[in-house]
Amino acid sequence: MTAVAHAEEIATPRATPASSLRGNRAFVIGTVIVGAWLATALAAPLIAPQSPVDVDVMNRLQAPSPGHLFGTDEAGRDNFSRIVYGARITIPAALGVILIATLVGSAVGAVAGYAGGRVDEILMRVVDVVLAFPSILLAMAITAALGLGLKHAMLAMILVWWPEFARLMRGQVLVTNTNDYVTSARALGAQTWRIVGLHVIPNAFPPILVKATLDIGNAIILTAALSFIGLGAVPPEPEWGAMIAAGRAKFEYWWAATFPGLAILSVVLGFNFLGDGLQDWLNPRLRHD
Amino acid sequence: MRDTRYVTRRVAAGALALAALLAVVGPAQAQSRQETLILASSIADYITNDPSRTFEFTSQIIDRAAYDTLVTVEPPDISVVKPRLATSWEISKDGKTYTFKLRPGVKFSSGNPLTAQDVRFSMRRLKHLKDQPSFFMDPVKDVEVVNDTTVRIILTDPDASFLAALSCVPCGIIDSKTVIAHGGTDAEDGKEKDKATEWLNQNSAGSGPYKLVSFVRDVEAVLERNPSHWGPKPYFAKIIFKHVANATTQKEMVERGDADVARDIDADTAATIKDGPKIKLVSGLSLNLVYLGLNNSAEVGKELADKRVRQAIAYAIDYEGLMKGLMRGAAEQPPANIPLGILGVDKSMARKRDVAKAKQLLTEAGHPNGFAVKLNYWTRPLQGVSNEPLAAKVQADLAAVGIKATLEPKEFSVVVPEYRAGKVQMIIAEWTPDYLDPHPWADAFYKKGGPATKRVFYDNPKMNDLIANGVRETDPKKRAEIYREIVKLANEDVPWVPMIQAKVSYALNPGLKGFVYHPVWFVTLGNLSR
Amino acid sequence: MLLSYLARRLGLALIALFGVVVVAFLVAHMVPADPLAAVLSEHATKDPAIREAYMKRWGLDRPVPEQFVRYLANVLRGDLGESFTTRRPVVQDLRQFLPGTVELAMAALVVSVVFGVPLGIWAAVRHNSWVDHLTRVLSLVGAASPIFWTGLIALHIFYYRLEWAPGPGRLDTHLQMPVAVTGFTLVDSLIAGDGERFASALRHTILPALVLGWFIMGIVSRTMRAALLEVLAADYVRTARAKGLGEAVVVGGHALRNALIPVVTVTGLNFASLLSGAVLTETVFAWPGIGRYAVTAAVRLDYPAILGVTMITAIVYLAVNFLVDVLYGVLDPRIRVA
Repeated sequence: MTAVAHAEEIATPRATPASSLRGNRAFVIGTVIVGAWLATALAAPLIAPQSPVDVDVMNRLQAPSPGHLFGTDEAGRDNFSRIVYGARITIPAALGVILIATLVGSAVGAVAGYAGGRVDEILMRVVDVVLAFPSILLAMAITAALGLGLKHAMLAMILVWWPEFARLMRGQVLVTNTNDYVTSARALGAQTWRIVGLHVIPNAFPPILVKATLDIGNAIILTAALSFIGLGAVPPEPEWGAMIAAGRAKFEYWWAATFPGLAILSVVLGFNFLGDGLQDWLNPRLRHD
Repeated sequence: MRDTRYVTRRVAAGALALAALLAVVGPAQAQSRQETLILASSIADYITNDPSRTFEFTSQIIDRAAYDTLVTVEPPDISVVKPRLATSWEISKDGKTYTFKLRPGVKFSSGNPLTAQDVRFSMRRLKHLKDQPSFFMDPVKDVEVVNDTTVRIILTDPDASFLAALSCVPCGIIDSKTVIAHGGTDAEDGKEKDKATEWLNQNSAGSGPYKLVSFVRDVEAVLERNPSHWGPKPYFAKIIFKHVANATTQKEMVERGDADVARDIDADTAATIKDGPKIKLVSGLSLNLVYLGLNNSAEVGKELADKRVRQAIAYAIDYEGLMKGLMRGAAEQPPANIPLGILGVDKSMARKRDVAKAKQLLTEAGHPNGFAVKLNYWTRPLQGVSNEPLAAKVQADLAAVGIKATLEPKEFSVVVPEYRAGKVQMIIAEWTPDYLDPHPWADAFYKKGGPATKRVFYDNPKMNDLIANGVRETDPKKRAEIYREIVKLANEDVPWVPMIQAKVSYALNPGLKGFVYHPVWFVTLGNLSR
Repeated sequence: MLLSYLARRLGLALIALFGVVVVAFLVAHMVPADPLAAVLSEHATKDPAIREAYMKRWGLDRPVPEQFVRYLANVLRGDLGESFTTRRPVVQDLRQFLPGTVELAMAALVVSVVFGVPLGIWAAVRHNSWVDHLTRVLSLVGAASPIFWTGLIALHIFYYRLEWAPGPGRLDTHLQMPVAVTGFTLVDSLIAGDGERFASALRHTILPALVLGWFIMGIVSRTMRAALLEVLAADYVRTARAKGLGEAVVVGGHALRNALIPVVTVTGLNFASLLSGAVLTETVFAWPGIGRYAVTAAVRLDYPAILGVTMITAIVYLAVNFLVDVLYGVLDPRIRVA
């Protein structure tokens, strides 16, 4: 086994990033799963056989059958269609949260790292404070305070998440700043924005991309968890966490809670594979191939 | 090496000691399981266990076991008032003076004797705390101690529902000495001065078959046999209410023998239970109402201010779909916001769905193409009914006659204040019984300014007169006729659309004996045995 | 040098602590909803006087800055207010429920280390073999599982279908919690010398600890693998190999000891995410801990309770961080300069 793997390692050319990614199994699996889910979200009306919200009280909690692939829920709605449409809620919500958290956090981190001194001190103390809270508890408290609903849950998640990116970005800025080429560029009189554009951002981008990708998975779980508790999206919205909560009380009808859970598991797994693959690519010593 | 051997020996010795301990403790515990009644139920509705303040479902069950009332009402015939602490009573000709003879030799769990003084204290404390159930004492002018075993209650006006009201849990008789010792008072400023509630949340001071020994919110409540109880010794030495939120887990716990009773079995879960050696299903018609509230004011209700529109909505609802589909047949359709089983309420008076009639009424009211309305509901479950599917179903039924309802799911604590302030246009809500007389329902839902009536601004002078007559009338036949009139008028005015009166189900260990469903306090715990 | 470093760290921790109180307070005052409706039942408050009494009792009628000053003073005195719903001091509630959460988290930590460390070692030693891949998939699936769902499925299968595990809750239903000495049920039942209760508590710990531990196990095994690979590539290991020492001696004797340091650090720092995971695990397993307490509080808008839980966890986190900082400062003189 080891010998074969070793041979492969030698045989695979590593010259270009693209080719190395193609040979990266985790990255490929992740791309396929995430791609499939994104396609599902985009083409939901084409894929779903029925409306995700149409009520049919005479056909409640029907077991999976050819007519209802994943059965029906407690209002007689088609579970399969709801899961397909659910991809349009949870995935974009998580993507949005992470995108905004990344932008805000990176900006704050870059400012802190560059400005240094008192600005850095104050910003990092704020980051410390927010990071001291377990994310789900702070998100719960904020959502409870703002009021029920997915939008408030998303806002809460952004408020909880940006400091992680701020800390990462600041670290990258500090590391890059001490690099010889940056020091020499500065000595040669290069402007700050030039250094940031040419050196800091390209250097900081890969670790931030990896963290963001892995965090999308976490954000999907947290979105679903907040809805599960009853603080996020609520039925009839076909949000996966809310569907699990509704199905939980009637678990004898196992399909109601099982399928949305599998949906979460698979999409998060996809993003985790993707992030993991990216990490391997960036840190070859720990590579799995 | 020596170290290792030493450690090994220590571990072995510890394990042996543990095994010996298990062997000794095992049989004793098995015995205690036999004499322990375990109820798996949600106890999340807890606010207080103080009988003079409680109004919630779980604490009523607990307090019913810990406190005796003067009179009681027991199934099957819940319209007959029976003696409990009072062995007999006399009602004066003018209907204003009630004289009760108390059972002699009754002791509280503290060992203190129960006297007429305690009855007076309990009634006065209930009144002066000015808390949720204080209205039970509204008709009472004075309570007089005649002697140790005779007490006289004097009303301001005759009240036909008063005797039944005395069976309510908040009218339970408390041990005045113990309660005073823990800071309680029956003085007029009791609302500010009484400090006994904290103690009464964790303990009880009654003469019932059980006493409360511990209560941990959202975890468990523990009752133990009251050794000083005057009545027959109950079978179970201990009763534990385990907080379990969802129906499936409750059912599983009964089947695995971890619980004897599962209290929150909805119709869907009930349908999965087959009677067998491990589990048995018991059902009974509840007095819980699930209804649609329609705001009658022009300002908030808008289109709903028109009686014809409200009638149209009532005709639009697919009651059969609700009963057969949503509730799997485990429900009745109440004819008004007074449930079936109550004096003057008759199943035949319930409305049938009529889409054509609904459309015609809407056209007459000037909305041939319907209109838009906001349908509010809260996100925690109603008694035995999943509210979200219900809201979605109502939305679909209204759409069938052209009314476009937007669903407004809100947190309970957000929507309820809005509702109480009369600010919601349409809402799905629920009501559980206070005591078994038609008056509390008529008063709450149909009398001008009543606790629910004022939320939808309903006011019909004719209705107000009927309700005033209903509570004054002492002849049961004439009373029933008055309440029939009330139901009829309620169906004409439609301030509310009554939708579901659920049949509630409980899963039991088949070895449990004496279980009879009680619509107000669930079951009389002292009657249960194995 | 060391003292000034420690003083600075302590100062930072105290500033963060103050920030935590400010954040917790701010969060509680963004409130548009009516917290009283959560306390008073549907039937309640026919009388506005009852509402007023509640407002007064909880200090909700005072201006916000005054509420904060009062709050801060109370926090310093160790008074986190009274929960709207339990009508008990929040500190008393936390004292009752925090040990349960710590017990669960510790048990899960044990699970994650017991399974995660050997898996990580195995994966590193058999780098790029099927073992390595399997470990990776196991870790990724664990991390991708929505714990509130995995718990649900596990409970249904192992409790109800297979009858292997005991049901939800901390003890068998007919048993009462032992007299609280430490608050840890396992410890207290031993102190009470109650074998049956101890056995029951232990059995009830296994399934939730496995579910929560699996969630964290991935992090442990991946860190272990990475650290060991890093160390195995280091010079002194090469030297050891060159000296002709057996692979077992090289890995077990030389590499492992050094590789375990980052694992311990990462595991320790992941205690916070373990607490986060515990919140949902407790909800599913009816586990009497602060997570379940927080969830009920959040849904009921019981602000003193939510504030109490978020604050206590933040304080625990800060304390752990401070200790880690101190240890680093003592162990590695280079860090003191930074």
